[in-house]
Amino acid sequence: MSLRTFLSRWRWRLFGAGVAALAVGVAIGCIWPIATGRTDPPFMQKLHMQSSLGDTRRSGAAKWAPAEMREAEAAVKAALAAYRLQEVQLLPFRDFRGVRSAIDTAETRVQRALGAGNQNRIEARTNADEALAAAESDTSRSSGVADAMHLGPYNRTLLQKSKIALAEARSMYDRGDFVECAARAGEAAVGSRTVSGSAVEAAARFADASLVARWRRMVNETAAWSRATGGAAVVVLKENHRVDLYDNGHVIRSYNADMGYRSVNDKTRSGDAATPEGRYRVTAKKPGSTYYKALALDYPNAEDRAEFDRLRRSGRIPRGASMGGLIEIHGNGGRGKDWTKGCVALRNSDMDDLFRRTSVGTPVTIVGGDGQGVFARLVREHAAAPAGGTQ
Amino acid sequence: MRKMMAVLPLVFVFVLMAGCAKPPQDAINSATAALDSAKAEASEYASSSLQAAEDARAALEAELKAQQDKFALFRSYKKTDELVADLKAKSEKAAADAAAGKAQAQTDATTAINDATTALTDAKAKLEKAPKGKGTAADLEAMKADLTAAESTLAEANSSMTAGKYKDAKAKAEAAKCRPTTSSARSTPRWKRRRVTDDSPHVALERFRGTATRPCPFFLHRRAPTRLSPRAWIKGPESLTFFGT
Repeated sequence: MSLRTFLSRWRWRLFGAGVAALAVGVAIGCIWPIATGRTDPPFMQKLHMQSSLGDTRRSGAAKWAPAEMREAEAAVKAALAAYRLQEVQLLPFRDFRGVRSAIDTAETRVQRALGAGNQNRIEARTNADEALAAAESDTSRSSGVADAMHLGPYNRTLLQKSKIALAEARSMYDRGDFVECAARAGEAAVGSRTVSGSAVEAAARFADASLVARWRRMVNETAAWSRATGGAAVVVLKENHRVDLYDNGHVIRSYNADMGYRSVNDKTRSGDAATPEGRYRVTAKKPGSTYYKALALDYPNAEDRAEFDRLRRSGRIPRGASMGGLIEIHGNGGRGKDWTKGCVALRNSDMDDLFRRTSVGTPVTIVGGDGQGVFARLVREHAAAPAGGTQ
Repeated sequence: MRKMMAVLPLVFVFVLMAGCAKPPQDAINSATAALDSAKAEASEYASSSLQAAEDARAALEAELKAQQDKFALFRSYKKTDELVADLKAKSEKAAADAAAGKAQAQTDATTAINDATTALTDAKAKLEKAPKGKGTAADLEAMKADLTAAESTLAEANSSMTAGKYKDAKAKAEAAKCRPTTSSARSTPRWKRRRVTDDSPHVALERFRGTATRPCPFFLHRRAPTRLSPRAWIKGPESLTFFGT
């Protein structure tokens, strides 16, 4: 049988066989990818990735690790696009192997963003905690300073602004803005430290050993005079807020006293609200004073006048300034703070006692303190405290 | 055979139409523009709604890319239409949420600033009326300085408000209401402070100091003797609580 005959007889059978083989080939080609799992969509992986992304977003990673989060978002987007690309293919043509790999990559980046975000947030929070603690410590110390001495308008405003900044920082902390919180707390701390620094500078003379020694000498001389004459003498220790009454060289009474509200300074002129320092005498006893009873002092004495002239000549006090006067030891005190314009105020009961025990001519020595009072302590504490606030 | 020949053109037209399926570009542009316009405010006031809209846009972009990568005759944009509608709805929601959030923040900030302004004005008025004299000079000076600080912070709050930073404005206004520095009373043993029987103003003040260890309601201070120092006269001696408590 020739080939032509064979083909003419078997052509339909051969065609059928060819079609069958093709069908089998196509069937195998279609079934193979399905059988090997290439067409199975990684649905659960996708859900897990999306869930992880949601968790990461909720953790605030976009704020705390923006670069990592951008990478993660881009990777997830790419994975979802690849997923959808395969999803729309005809079943046998789908191949999710690349998608699985993309999802794995995205998952890794999401986890990295989550980790970096958490770490940065914790670091920022720790910084904010430290900054807040330092600011609170500094502000508290400045408030202590404000309690110990009257601050001038500038420093008082600065202290109040520091407190406001601290309150704002706390509000930022509650909002989760740790970086801004740390910055604001830092401003509060700087302001508070400036206030403390200024106050300590003003109070520095109370820790000056030579000056304290001079004050002690003045007190000892007053006590010696009392011992020598057997008379009464009064010693006022400004920073100790104390008035000691000497009799026959011994302290027989001590009274708490309020001073001028700027007593951190020595009195130099009228209106400076400072209690003068020096040796004075009682010039008059006033049983009916505006402030209960009063012992008038001979301020300004010759030494005060000479000092005033010297300061005015050197330009340290204004030309138009005048010498103060009318310095007294009077009643209506005991307020627990310095409030007078330079006088020494005692409780009325103490004033009664002092009034009875003193007379015109009684020496009154007013000194800064004994180096153990509130101002000297302030200077020592400030020197002992480390920079940065926390003690 | 004739019937088949008649159907063929119809099939050809159908295939041609299907092959020419195009994405709903106008709708996509409109939805995307809606999202873009909502973005600026939503990022601050409606972040979760914005995130949902961003996700919807990502899904839409994935769908568009998937369809574009398909053989032209097999492209279908039915799902795209759904995704566009979803994006548009979510963008509009983000815009609405942002507007609501912004309005709320603005209201909160305005209220806080108004409260602080009222308190400040009130405090200044009381300070003007406060008794002036030897015993009150230090307190008055301190209070004026405190008010200056509060005024300055309030001015900052108003600036933030003008700049549209409502959260900052609110925080500043609330901080401006924080209690100013306490009085500069030295620490005296409490028993000493309470052993006073005099009725003079400073004694009344001291009596207050011995008892008022924490901020008292305003009405309690109102019952205090009227000859107190300005600090006590305004709110109480221990704390200058002219801004709330």
